[in-house]
Amino acid sequence: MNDSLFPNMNRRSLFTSAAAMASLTMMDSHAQAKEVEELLQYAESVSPRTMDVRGRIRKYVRFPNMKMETKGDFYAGVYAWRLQTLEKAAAVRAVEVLNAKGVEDDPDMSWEEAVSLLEADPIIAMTGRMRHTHQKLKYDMLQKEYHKMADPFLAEMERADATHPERLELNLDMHIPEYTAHEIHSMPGGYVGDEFAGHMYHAGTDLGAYVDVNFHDRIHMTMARNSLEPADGKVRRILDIGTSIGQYATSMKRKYPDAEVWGIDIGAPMVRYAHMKAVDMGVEVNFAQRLAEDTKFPDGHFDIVTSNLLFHEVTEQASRDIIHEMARVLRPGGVFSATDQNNDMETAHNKFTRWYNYRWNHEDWYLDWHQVDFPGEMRKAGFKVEKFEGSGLHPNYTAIMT
Amino acid sequence: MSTKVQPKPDTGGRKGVAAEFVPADYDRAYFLKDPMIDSIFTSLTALAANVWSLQRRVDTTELLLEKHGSVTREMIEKYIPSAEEQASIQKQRDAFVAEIYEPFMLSGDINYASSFHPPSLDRSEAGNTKGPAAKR
Repeated sequence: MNDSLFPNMNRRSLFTSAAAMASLTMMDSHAQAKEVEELLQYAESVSPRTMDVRGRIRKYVRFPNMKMETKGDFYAGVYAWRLQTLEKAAAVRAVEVLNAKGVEDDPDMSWEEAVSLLEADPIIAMTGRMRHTHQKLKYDMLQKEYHKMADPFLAEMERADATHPERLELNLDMHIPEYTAHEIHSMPGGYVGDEFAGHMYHAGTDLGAYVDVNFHDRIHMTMARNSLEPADGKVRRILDIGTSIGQYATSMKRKYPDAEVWGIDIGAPMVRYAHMKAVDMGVEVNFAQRLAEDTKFPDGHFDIVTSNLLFHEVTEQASRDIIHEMARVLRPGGVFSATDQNNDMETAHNKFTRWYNYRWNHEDWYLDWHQVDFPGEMRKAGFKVEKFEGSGLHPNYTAIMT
Repeated sequence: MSTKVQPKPDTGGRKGVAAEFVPADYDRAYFLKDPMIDSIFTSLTALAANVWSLQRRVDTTELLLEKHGSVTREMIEKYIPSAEEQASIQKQRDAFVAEIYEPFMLSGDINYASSFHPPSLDRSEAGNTKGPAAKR
């Protein structure tokens, strides 16, 4: 038991939690031990932040009040129940509905047909209702609370801005393409339109899609550990595009401490939060507000480029432009490691859930992502493409610049 | 058109970096047969989140009172549960969530008026919910 009323960190509980989390991934014991060790090193390395007023509990930053934490805990539980229970029942129902209607689950069935066949089923409809309710209540709570405490949170970011300012580049007058300014996955203001976009993204993914794999950048550390490097072993410069709150970029820096690492994103609030997080961690990464399709870096500048979950959030044209820009900034033999959602479409139920994400979770460029022949585009740009599973939650396309 | 008005924080003159964005229309979505049923579901979930929040606060208050005999708001806010307590909280939360949402697992595909009699105990009639058993 932890008898202290105001502890900064309960390392024993952190270790237990980390071990439990590692065991969930079915990794071998060596990998588990390595992950636990990394989590502990991470916990040691992070400096307390001004708004870190309630100590730490597994997560990088504990919510600033108990009400946020406990309501967030409930929303995380609702998310997990839907995923583990309701979605499985819905998949069974989808088969039953198609059988009852005498329709074959043809892989070539259109999204529209799949939706019209399944949307009236009460259990399948309820999956949409629960997803939507979860996103709404979670983000409403986060935005309301961060706005309520805007002054101290903004003061905290201003202090971080002034710490290693040479590592933070904000281009507030730059042109922001319309497609980047949507409220992607229902986050209020999207990546560009709310001062607390970084805070909401970090907390929101903790309480939803990355429940139990986001804290301590666990999933990003796993991706970094599994990422390939150039055959000659030379890694001097690394670029992470669509860096969001910088989790992949800082994880790559920890893997390659001697490399110069950059993270770029169009969202100024995201870049600002990424910088603050990296400063707190004591990890030297440069963050810049720039576009992935126009990085401003010289030709052949980087040895490795990474991206995580960027491409399903950009237009089809932007996907092509970004791939060609990566071909330009990577040196011959350089590696482009792009992790994103599976864009295979197998079943009608699968199409229904993807339609939901597109239409009502506002993954507004999901249809574009499903139009892109991603490996094909990489080959056209001059890459030699390999694809492998297992670098994280999603498939990873690794391409070598020829 | 979305009816949503995007709130903005009071920056109190501090530096702001946010830009204009394209508002989504997610407030128009409904999935069930009547938008009001969707709204009732969301209200139910908001209510349940607050009930769980209060439950956690009561549990923490009781625990601290047992340990220390008195309690302050700061003690409650800053209390960090042990690993054992966290595991117990997670179990309670999962049971609470299941209790609330399991009713929504019912497919409800047989209207009450379409099944005059309950299913027969006769094995040959097992699963017959569409009408009276033949022997009746």
